[in-house]
Amino acid sequence: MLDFVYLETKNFPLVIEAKLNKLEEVLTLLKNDMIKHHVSADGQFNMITAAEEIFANIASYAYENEEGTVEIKTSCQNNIYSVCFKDRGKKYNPLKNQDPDTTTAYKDRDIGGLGVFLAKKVSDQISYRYQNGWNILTVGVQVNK
Amino acid sequence: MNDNKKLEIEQIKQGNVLTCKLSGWLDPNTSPSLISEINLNDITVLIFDMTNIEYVFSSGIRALLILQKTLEKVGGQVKIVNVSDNIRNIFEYAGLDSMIDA
Repeated sequence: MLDFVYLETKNFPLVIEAKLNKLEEVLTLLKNDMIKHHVSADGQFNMITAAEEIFANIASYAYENEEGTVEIKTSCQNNIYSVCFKDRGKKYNPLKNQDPDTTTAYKDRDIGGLGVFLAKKVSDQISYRYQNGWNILTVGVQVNK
Repeated sequence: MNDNKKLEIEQIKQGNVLTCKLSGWLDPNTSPSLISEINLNDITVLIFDMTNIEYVFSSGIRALLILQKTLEKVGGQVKIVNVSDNIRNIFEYAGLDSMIDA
């Protein structure tokens, strides 16, 4: 279960190391932010799922063996709660990935490629752009869904 | 907040059936322990009780798929029980919903 420890000193926009051991901190902050914005329980679940996959992807691949950071901003308007992830890692559009085959027998199933696919499935909006050296990925869920 | 959420695995073995009650997180930091901490010797049915799992991320699903592939070689299978509606959706998206033992 997520602990809703209020992190008084941190909030969005947030700049945080692109490391997997920051995952819990990012997701807890997002959960608290969504509660403040009255995002429904299902909306929170979907955003936590999408954000986990996106942050884990950046932490695992964006900077290869270099140190790097992720900038995270949130917004809430027109019944959409959005989270924007920016990194200066290698240019990479995860939305261009071919979706994994989820219908073949388990023994023939490819293990990879599920993360971004799940982020796309649970989100109501997702977009990518590359601008001035930044990968910018924004994901949104309906507030009242 | 510097310590990552741990995954706790309570294992109950009855004959060839191993039931694992999970609590905590199934994320990239914890999911590898699903593989490393479960001994599949003599096991043909591996049941994961997800009562205390709030989220399943792709790293957790990959670990479950690896265990399923391993068990299939001896005619065994993985079963998932006590999932929330949201987690059921995740398994359906991933095409693993037949693992869920309703």
